[in-house]
Amino acid sequence: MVRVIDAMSIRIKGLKKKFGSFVAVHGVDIEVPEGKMLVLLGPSGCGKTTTMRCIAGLEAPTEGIIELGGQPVFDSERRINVPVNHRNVGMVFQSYAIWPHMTVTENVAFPLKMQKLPTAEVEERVAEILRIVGLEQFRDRGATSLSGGQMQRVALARSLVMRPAVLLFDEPLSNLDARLRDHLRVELRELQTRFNITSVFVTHDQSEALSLADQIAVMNTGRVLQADDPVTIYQNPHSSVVADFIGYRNIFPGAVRQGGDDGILFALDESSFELTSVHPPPPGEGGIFACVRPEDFEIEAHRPDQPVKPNTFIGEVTSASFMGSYTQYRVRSTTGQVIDVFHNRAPLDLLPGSPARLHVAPKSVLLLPMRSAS
Amino acid sequence: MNMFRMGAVAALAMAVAAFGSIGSGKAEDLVIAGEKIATEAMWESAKKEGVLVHYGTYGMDLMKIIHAGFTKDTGIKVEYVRLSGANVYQRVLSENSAGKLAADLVDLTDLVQINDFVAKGILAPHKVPGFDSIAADLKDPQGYWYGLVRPISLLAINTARIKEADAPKSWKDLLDPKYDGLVGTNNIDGGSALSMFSFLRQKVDEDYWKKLAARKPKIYDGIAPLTTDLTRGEIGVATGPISEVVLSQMAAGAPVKVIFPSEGIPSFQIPAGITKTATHPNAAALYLNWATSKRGGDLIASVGAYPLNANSNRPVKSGVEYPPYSEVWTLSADAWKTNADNYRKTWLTTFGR
Amino acid sequence: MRRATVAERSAVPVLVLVTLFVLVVVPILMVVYTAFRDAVPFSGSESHFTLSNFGALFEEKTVSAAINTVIVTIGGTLMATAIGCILAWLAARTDIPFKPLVHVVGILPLFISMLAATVTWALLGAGNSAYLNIILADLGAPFRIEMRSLAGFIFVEGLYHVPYPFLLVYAALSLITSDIEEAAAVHGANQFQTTMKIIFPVVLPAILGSMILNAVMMVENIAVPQILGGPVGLETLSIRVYYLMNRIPSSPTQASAVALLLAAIVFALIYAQNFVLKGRDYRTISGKGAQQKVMSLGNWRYVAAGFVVLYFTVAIVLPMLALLLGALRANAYIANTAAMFDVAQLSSDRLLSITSDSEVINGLKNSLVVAFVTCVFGTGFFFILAYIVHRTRIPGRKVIEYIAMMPLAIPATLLAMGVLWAWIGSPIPVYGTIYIIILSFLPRFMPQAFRALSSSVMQVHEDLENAALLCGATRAQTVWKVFLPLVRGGVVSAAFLLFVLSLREVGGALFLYTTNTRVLSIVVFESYENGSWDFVAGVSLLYTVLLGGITLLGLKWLRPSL
Repeated sequence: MVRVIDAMSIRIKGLKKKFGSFVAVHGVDIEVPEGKMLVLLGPSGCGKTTTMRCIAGLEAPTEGIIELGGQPVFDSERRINVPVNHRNVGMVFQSYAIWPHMTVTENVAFPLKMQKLPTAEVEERVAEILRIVGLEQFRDRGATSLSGGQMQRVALARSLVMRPAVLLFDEPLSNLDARLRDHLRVELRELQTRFNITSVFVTHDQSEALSLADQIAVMNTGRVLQADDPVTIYQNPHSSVVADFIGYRNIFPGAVRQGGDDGILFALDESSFELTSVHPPPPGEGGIFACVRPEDFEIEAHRPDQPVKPNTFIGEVTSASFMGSYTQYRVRSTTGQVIDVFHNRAPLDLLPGSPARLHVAPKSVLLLPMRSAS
Repeated sequence: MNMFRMGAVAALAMAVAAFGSIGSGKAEDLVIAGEKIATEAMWESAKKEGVLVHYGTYGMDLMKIIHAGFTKDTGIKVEYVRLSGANVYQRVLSENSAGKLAADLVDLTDLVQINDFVAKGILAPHKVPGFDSIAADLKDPQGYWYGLVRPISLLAINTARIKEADAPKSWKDLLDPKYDGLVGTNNIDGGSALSMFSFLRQKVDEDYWKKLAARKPKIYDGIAPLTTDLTRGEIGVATGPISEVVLSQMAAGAPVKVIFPSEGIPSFQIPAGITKTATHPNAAALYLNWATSKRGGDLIASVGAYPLNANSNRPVKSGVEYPPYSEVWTLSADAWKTNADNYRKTWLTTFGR
Repeated sequence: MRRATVAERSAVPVLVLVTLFVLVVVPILMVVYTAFRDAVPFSGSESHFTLSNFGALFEEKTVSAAINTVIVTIGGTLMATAIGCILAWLAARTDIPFKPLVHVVGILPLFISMLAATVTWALLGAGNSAYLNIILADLGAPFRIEMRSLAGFIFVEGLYHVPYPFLLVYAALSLITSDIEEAAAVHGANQFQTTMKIIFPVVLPAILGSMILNAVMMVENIAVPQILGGPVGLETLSIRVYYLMNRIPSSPTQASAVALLLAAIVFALIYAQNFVLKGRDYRTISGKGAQQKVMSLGNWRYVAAGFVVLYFTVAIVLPMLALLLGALRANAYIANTAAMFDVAQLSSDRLLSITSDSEVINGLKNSLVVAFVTCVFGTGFFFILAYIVHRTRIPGRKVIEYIAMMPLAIPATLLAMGVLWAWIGSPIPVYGTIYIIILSFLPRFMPQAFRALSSSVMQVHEDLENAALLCGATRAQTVWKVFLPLVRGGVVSAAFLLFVLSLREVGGALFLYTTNTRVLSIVVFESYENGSWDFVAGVSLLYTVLLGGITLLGLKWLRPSL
């Protein structure tokens, strides 16, 4: 019977990694409690994959401490560096990394063979895990003769079978087509929670991050910008950079004009337009930006005779795309901003070229610094 | 004892004496065909050594025949490493200075080089039987080396290109313009060429080289291409140390013939000596003794080169008998030393190479 | 959880570096050293520093040899590239019939020893009495063929160096799948523009890469100038080195200097190659069966097929026949065409006696042993090198790569001499044995084998090994269970390549053998110097049949490595 694995926590402190003179990771602190899934989210080159590979032991950090289950696997000061094959860390690769010269069973059995377990036990555990991932009928197939999704399941099975302390996912869904991606994502999450394995998942896809994570760490240029649970990050990004990653497509530079009980007045750059927001921006640097989610705009056709509420942009629709469950509009405002809107009620009769007005509630306008102070 | 028995014993004794002269395994001097080749002591030691390592320059095919004759007569095997003259020289020097000289016997084609070996202490002297009666030209005064094999230079024609009646009969004849475009000769590099060209200059005509060069002969960098082109009819007449090869080809049916020019035949020697560090010094000494004896000389003569010993048979190859020893001219070691460098330079300039 | 040991990480590369140093760098250093001395090392005379050897470089002989080298190399390379490109294009992008034969034809000449090939062309076209000229004379033709000329050199070199451009250009062409061309067409390009802007840039690195590879081989070639140039005094730098070593008065120190000149030329070529290709590897993997546009040749099919047949005939059939004839004729004189084919003048005695000739048999035995050991040890060692360079982070691996490719720039004969001088003084008794020949062959073939193994190694995605490590395998287990099975094809291919290269090598063994350790190629080479032409032809024939046979058998495994 499959037992729930004794999960281990992950603790990373002061992780730095340099490649020559290029600093890939500038000093990262992360903690992942047992059984939880952390998603590292960020653009290419932000250091998320490097951080993950340091956990696996495929890269040796320049500085820092990495602990699994309270035991250090890397400590630059005490010169500890446990080799890759002794860390009991599982990893699912973007390229699947399935061995073409072995069958599915041989692939999955490999880690157990490395542990020199008795054949009977190996067979039993392999059969079980293949059942769980739904691949038992392929057990004797050449592993690379399967489809992409099936190969990724083989990779997952191979990692799961060894009951790893920690499971790492390096953009495992990027090579799959959209439907499969969705499907497999849900499966992955189910398995992860079911087996209670502490996991780290790397992606650049915001919706993947939001749907999978217990905690998201948004990274950019080698640093963690913000680490919180998905809802908090989604509702309360600390900086405009984080907001950008997390779905706040509309980011307008400007300056705070005045604060008061009615709200904070924020003047957009190079225009006379003022937005009203509720909270003052948290401390930070790099300028202040007004950040609004596309689904927080109310869009309707603009009729000049009708009065305009505050916090309303006037503009012209430049594109309209029907996405099924919502319609995406892009509007160029008279004050010079380009605004993305998701309208998730019945589609409007708003063709490109028509005038439109966009209203956003002050509470949906987040004023954020480019980089937060924390 | 009755008469019959005595006669039988006597006959037996004579037979034993006669056959015993080949010296098979008995503890006595090695005597072959009436010539004493080795003393008992040397013979025993040589037999114990059993093998001889020879680094040499003479053609493999021919040398094998000579060595086979030696082995047949003495039972001692020969391991032959055949390399070009320059290579033997370099190799012996390299091996020697590394203390790894594997050869017991070495020969070269250049007298300056062999004397260099003497000067460097690489060779050990050995006086063969009859040392004193060997011509001074053919040996080192202290016995460090001997000119065991003496190939000659001569003329050869392809009878399909030049009728025998029209063929040159002397070295001087070769200068006739009627042979223009048909003449091929050897490059000066080898010792054979040096002796041939010295002979031509000293014995035939002081200006021979200039005159020959004016006829624009084809110059070859080796016996192989020279004789091949002769056999194929690419050239009509060739000069150089080609007798062995041409006679073999003739025997195989090629339309080639050798001509012994009337002025005489230049020979060069392949000087051979025993190395100081020889592992089988007695075998090597035995070889020298054998090769300088009439018996050894007969064998050498049979492959088409003059041996050292003028009492040996005249060389005969493919049914062609060579001229008597008196017609053979040898370049002395001293003359060689004096002239080698400047002859080479002059030759190269004269022939434009 | 244990610490990673530092010792583990540095023992292997140190051992490897030391072995590499001894194999490659020491012989090269010996040669460089000798070039600056006035006497050979270990020659018993004291040697002193001198620059006079380099003065000899300006002698007329050397200068004209250098000029000849340049002419022959350029001409030969152009010819080989032209033929190779045409064959590659026919094979990759047309509907020429019997395509597999085109492939065989394109590759086979690679494994005919240049020595044997040159012998055949001497028989066929050197001088008025050559076979072809006899036929021409009888036909009343006003011209003759003279192979003993620079044109002859170019012809022979060009003819037999076709395989490299063929293979590399073919691989590049097969990358051009139909969707690439269709994209060009859809965006407005006509056939000409597509060819110039799409196809040509893809193929250019392969063309240039193969040209330089060929140029390096031609610069070094010793058989052609020896056999075709010797009789007429036509020299190239490579043979100049040989003569300086082998002719009296010999001058190994000058030979070292000339060899350094040769090496400088090769360095320049390789540098030019890197510059032009800007680090791109022209040895691209051939496209895997994706759709390709194939041009229909229509009636030109016959012309194309004729071209392939013509090349095959001229490069292989004709020479083999000439060799057979040369081996069967008792004497070399041929009066006219009728006499050439007169059966009465043929005799198989000599040829048959060759097969039982003790020298030949010994030579064959030695060749096989040398080839086998070189192949086994070489494949193992070079594989480790390739793995270290491309699959680890061990410091110093760039140095390893550099050293591994160095022997490309050193002519075989000089490497051999360097090996001789390097080992003759050593307490390890390799001198005079087969092992010193192997020690010369290993560095000689290192660049090619290393390159072949490298490309195999690089084809395995790093993740495949990382996955194994994460599953708990040690590095050694990973190599054994995951890596090796995946590169097995490439490893076998490289092993086979080493085997064949060893069998046909001449220059690398030249100064290192003794009577007992002669390899078959040396038997052939020496037979040439000894003048029995029928023996030369006979042994060459035997040698070619052996080499060709082994190559054909293993062609399937060899392909990836070429």
